[in-house]
Amino acid sequence: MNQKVTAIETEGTSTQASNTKTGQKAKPEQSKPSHWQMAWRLLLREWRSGDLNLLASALILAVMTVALTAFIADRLQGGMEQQAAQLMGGDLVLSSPRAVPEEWLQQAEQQQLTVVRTMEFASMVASDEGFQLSAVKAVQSGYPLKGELALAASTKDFTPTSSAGRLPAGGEVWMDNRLLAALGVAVGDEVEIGQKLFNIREMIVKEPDRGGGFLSFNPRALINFDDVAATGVVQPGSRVNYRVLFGGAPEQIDAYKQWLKPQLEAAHRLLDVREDRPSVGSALDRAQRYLQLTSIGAVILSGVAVAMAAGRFARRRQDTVAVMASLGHAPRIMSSIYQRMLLVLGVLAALVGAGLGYLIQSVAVSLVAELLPVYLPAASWQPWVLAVGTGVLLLMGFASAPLLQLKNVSPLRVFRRDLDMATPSTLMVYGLAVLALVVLVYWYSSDLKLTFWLTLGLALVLSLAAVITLGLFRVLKVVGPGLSTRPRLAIRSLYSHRQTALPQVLAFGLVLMVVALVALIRSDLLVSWQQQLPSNAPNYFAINIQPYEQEEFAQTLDEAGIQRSPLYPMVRARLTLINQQPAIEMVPEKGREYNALHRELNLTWRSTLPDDNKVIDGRWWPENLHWTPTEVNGSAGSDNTNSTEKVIGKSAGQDTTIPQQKLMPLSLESEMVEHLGLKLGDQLTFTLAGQKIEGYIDNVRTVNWDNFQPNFYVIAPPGALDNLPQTSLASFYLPADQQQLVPKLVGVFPAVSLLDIGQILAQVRQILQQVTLAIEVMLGFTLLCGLVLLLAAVKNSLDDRLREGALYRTLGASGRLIRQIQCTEFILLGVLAGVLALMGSELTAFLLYSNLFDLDYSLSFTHWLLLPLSGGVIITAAGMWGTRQVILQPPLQVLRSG
Amino acid sequence: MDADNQALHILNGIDLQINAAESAAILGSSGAGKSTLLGLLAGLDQSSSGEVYLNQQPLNKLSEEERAAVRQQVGFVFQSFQLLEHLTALENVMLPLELAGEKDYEAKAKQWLDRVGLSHRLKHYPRQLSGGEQQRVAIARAFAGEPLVLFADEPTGNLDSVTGHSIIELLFSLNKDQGTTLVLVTHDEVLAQRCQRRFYLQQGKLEERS
Repeated sequence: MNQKVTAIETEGTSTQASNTKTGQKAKPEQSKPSHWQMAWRLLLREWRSGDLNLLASALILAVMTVALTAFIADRLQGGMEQQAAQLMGGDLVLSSPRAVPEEWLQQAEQQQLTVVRTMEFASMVASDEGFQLSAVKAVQSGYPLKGELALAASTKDFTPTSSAGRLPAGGEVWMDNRLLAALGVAVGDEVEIGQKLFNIREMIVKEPDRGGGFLSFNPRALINFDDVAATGVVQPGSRVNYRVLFGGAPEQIDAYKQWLKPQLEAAHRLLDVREDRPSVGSALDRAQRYLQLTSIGAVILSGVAVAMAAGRFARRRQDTVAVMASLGHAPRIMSSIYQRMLLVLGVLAALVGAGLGYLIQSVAVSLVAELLPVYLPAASWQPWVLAVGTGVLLLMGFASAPLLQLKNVSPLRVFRRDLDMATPSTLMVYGLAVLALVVLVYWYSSDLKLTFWLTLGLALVLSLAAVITLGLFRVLKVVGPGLSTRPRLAIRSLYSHRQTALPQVLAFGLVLMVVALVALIRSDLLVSWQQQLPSNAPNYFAINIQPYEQEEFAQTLDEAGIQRSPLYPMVRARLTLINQQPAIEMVPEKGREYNALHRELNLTWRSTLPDDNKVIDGRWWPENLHWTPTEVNGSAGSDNTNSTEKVIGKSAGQDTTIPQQKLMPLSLESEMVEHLGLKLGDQLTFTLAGQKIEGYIDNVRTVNWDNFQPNFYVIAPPGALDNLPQTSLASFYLPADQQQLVPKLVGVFPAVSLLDIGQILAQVRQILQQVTLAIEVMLGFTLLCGLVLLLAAVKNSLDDRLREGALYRTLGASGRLIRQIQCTEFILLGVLAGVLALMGSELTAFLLYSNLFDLDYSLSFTHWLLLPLSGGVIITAAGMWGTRQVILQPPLQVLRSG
Repeated sequence: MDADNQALHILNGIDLQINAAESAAILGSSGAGKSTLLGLLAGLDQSSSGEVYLNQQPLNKLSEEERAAVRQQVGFVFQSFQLLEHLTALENVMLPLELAGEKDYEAKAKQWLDRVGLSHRLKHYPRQLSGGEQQRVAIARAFAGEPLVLFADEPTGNLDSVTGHSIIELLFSLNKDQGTTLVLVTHDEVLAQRCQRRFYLQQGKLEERS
């Protein structure tokens, strides 16, 4: 240290010399070195001294972890989005009930995007054998933009081959197996769509963007875009879904999206992965939130590690500053030079950390590349900015306060070493740290709400934990004197060091809490996905099962040993009146284009609430409720005007006055209720082939659309719809080795439509697999950050422990006794940290589950045992390892150096 | 010891025997190796060669654990007091008693603090005490364990002459009462004169002068 002091002194002397010569004689070569120059020189010297190691390594590790997280998340995100884009057919999809304005498409082309137009409409397709309502899709060259259209030569040979960019030529139609079977035709035959004759050229085996419309039950016919006019099917007013697929680099897509959004009308839907594919969308959404959360967790852990390392560094620099102060250099200047040194260190460490992060992720990804379900695209530049920015912000936020405090070092310390610099004010330390945290969390999440709640939650948890810890220390102090030597001395040491032990407990608690939380959410997310898509999730839907064939259909499946859902009865009807007024006039402006208003809805009846549904308003009807159609007001063609007048006469919300006993109760899906501006008690009229179904909204329920099970917008009580024309719907799981059952079912039940959702399931599973991998990786890195903080926290008290250990040994304590005392101390710290982590993680999990992840929260009793226990074990192990020097160094050396 | 790859001999050919209940002063200029010698004698450090016996125990043949056991019969007073900052005066004195497994450690510690005139300062922390008071606490701590040998490393080095004088008086009076062997490192000739034997350390060599 003498060397260092002398070196700075030399600098200082030259500073003074130049000061005296200010004005006339100041020569450029003697000019005073700037604070930046001094900071740089100081950094080199400090680096050699080794005292910056902990700070630098905490910082490098923090940035490395953030960089790794960001790079991997960025690439996985890219990979997942690519795959999801295949499900969607393009990077961006614009869906519209009207033709999309030409200038929008021109603009897209000007912005270097690939544009492919498609349109879909329902039409009868006729063959010599019969006709079938089909979903006709007309496509332009370039289709599909993403994914692959797989074809097969005939119904006998299912071997798929890629369309390799080919499309149906003019006058050609490509059909799926279902349509071929329903029409009794084969490849090579001719069919009619509207006024035009088409030649069947290919059989479609797999269509990339079929997924979203899997509940549009009709079989597929694919024709050329230019043939649409000749069919004469699409007339003004026809219901057509125009879909424009856009392809391009993410930045181009984003730029176009920004341009397009303000011009969209209510009828337009701009689809991205989240909107178009609920199953994948919500999984991706949750995964993204999870990745954000783990990054934030890692940054918090690293930030605290940096703060602890900086605190230790500042304490060890008090002597240098005191000596310099005694030589006439204001501590304020020294503090300012140290601040600059910190910034230089921050930038360097951040660059090194980001570089290491990039290298490690490159190696890691290339090692597992073959195992990954898809190719991961190269990382973008954003993670670099994020990582380096994080490093600098972390340092400024978490390390500034202790170093700023160096300006308060008294020169008297040269004589009286017990004169410590004032502890940095709580407001400054926490204020700066919270500020940095808020900026970082907002930067990562762009979510003001998340930032607010996370910061507030963390502040509350930490304050509460601090109060509890200090309280417990006090309790221990009272209990201590009655105990035997080791625990008594351990407790005394803890209590008397409470100012350093408190941040240590909080840091340990934070590590355990973040790791527990990240692990807990991980396993709950995975379980929820597995539950959502078990290996035997239904891969076929059977629709339009007529009443007379229901029994036989069920029997056929049961005899083949196929797992199936119950047969859900279904009535298809259109919502026409709301409170006896035309529905379209009653809904808010925004809801008028809502799909449910323009198509037939599937109504079913049930005595019990479906498994994945939750009633959020009103109450589900009693299980034994059976509604006889005669009681249904205006049902099955009756028109009871008296009663309806009565209903309309009541104002909104006064549902108790509605003669409900005469009206059928209905259960509605919550999104539909929201879009159409409905509320409990509203009277709805559905029309079905001239017949009316009337009822009132009795309850509103949420539906899990991701579960690949039959779901319904409207449910009535059993019996209510008995007299109406109905079909049934069922889902079942057909194992790969029983696929031959499909042609048999199609043959025996020609009216039943079989919908194969196996491909969609497989794609969703692949995506979930990637998400799972991402989550595992993040858990690993959070653990790493936790470990660094653990060691930083242990190191933070190392100087004190070394000196104490030496004194204990001087006073005759054996190394074993010292280690036993320390061990007891770490066990207490660990268990305490574990208990705090338990409370914190349960509280945070509760908030996160309900607000961010939409998962059910339940107390985990294994955690209650595991956290305090593992806290004790891990912290004792880390603590004992980190302080092993205490009994290794000769006592005299330690006492002299102190 | 090894410094920049050059062998540095701090002590060389030292032959010294101090008998029970004797008081001995080791004198020498700064950097002569007085404190190093004291550390070796007390088993706080280890020599690279040679033998040191303390209470008939061969220190350089013992493990650190065994040396710690030997140190239970030894007391220390340091120039820089070496009190534990976070413990009160009473707790500092209690510590060696507790480490040795004494039952009535608190009463004994209070008794010793009373003997050094600090019964009114029991609950004070070192930073609330003057230098002289801190050294008194250190002396109370050193004697509380009833050591056979007391090592003192320039015990008045950090104190003014009046306070230093009172500390020396206290040290010698307690030493006399307890019959402890006293080994003192100092460069204060007057202080050294109060010891029965005086050893001078120069360039690594030790010489006894009367």
